[in-house]
Amino acid sequence: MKEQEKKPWSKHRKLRGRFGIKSFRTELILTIFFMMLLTSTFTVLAYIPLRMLLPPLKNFNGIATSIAVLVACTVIGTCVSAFLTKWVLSPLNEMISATDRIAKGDFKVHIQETFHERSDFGILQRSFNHMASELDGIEMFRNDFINNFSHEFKTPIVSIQGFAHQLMAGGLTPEEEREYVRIIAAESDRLAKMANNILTLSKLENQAIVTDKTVFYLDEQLRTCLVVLEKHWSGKNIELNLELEEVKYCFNEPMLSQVWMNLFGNAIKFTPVGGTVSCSLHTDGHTVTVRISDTGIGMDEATCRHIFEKFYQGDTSHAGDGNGIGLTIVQRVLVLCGGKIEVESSLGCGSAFTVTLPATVLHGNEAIESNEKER
Amino acid sequence: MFNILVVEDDFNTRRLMCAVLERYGYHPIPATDGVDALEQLDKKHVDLILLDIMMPKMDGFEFTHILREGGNSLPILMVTAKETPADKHRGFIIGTDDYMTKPVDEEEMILRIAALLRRSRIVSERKLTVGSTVLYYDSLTVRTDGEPVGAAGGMELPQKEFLVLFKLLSYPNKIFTRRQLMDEIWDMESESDERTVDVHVSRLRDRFRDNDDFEIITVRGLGYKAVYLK
Repeated sequence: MKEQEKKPWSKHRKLRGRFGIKSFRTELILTIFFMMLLTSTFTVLAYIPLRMLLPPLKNFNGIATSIAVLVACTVIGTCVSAFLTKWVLSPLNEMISATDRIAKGDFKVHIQETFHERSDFGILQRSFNHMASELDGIEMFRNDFINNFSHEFKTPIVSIQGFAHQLMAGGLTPEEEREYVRIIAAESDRLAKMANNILTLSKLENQAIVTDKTVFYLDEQLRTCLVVLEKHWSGKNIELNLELEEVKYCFNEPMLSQVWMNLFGNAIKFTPVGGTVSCSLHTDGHTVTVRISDTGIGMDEATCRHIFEKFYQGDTSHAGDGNGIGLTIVQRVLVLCGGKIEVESSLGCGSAFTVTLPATVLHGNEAIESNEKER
Repeated sequence: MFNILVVEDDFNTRRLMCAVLERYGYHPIPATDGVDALEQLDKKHVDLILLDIMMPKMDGFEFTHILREGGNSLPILMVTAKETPADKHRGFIIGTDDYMTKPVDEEEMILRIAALLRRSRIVSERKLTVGSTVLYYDSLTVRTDGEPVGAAGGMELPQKEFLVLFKLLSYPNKIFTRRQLMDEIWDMESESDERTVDVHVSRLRDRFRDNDDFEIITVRGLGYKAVYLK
């Protein structure tokens, strides 16, 4: 019995080297199982009949023969079970080592899809490869984001630092001094806004559920946003055209407010003096539609497709004071509430953003979302 | 000349705030944390407190709490980097009058300080003066003739009308939506709707048609605002 136990251990040391320690227990169990199965099978099928069929053997020393046969069975059994274990476990081992590589950060692994696509293991293999390619995609996206982000941060810092040094060095005309100081102030403002925006976006992206929901009037929220922005639209003599139905809504109020602040802010920013910003709100019981439009400079089709991307700005010289994150935040909030946003625009005429939200159904002070009710 | 206590532990930030306040004609009194601020309050007359939250020894929340517990109702404007809604709520619950997050727009800060000082005076004196028009809160009376309240003459207004006028004139140039006016002045359970506000405003306009100290302006689609005519 001691010999039986020794064999599996040495085999494991070898296998451990080849397949990695993760499958140790499985291999051990499987190996012992196979070995015992085969040994007992051989014993029953070979030894005992042999003994009966070959009477001369009876003359041999029984114990020696038994040990000899036992050893032979063990060796054969071990070889067979080694082969079987390898055959059964190697795909699993391959997946285990591939998973280790992903854990270390190499997302380009790909395992051979050797099993039929409808078998359980085949499905597992294909899912694994799919997961690896998704992770690879995210990694690429993350690198892009980091690159964009550093660029967005560094650009204003370069200006601030550079112009500050120029001012310290002296020897400038008063106009130049004023201009440089103005640039430092403007770039600092931009940096401050961007820090806030990025923080907001990070928080939203890490959020899967919405908390702090309250019931409020959507029309009132839209009006309040415009009141807050009063300085901006009245300063440009922009006319407001409002058609707001009274709509009660249940959601995280400040989050949704950001959506309107961004959309109104953009509408006002891109509309020239004397233009018009319109807003309409209505509901049909299932869906709430908010449309914010302006008579501003508009966008071409290519720009429309990219505006929701992070850091994207139609005007690439950053002459405006935005960061390109506003609409990304808008889209993220809408995803969290089950809504969506569409844009129509034409250059020189203006743009219109249509936001659709699922209506909330209220019973007394409780709000039930209409899609939940339908479930 | 208003005395403003500036409680802020960061040297440069404190210096910056004091410089801004001086430029706008206020007299800043610097303090480095809550403990120092309490000492200053004992020694000097203060009209308003600019308060940071994250400070050593005693933070802004604790300071406000101590002040309010002690019955002091000086206006407090919290200016802080803490900007989550939870922090804001805590600030208001503990007793601040207003809350701004850093970095602040200095113009906005000055405007808020002015508004807080104004309201504080209105609250303590229970009257509001616009040019030669004076509104007396306790008696719901408006005088335009320079005579003190109680003397013959002067207009007493129905309560709701007076309150609407008082609110609009307390915050000149601020747009109020009809619902905001209703929520603040009418009962929550009231049957009136937003049309009622319109009726009251048009009555006010009739009464004060000849008044050249102020005017109530309709902002189409949004609401009303009062402007001072100087």
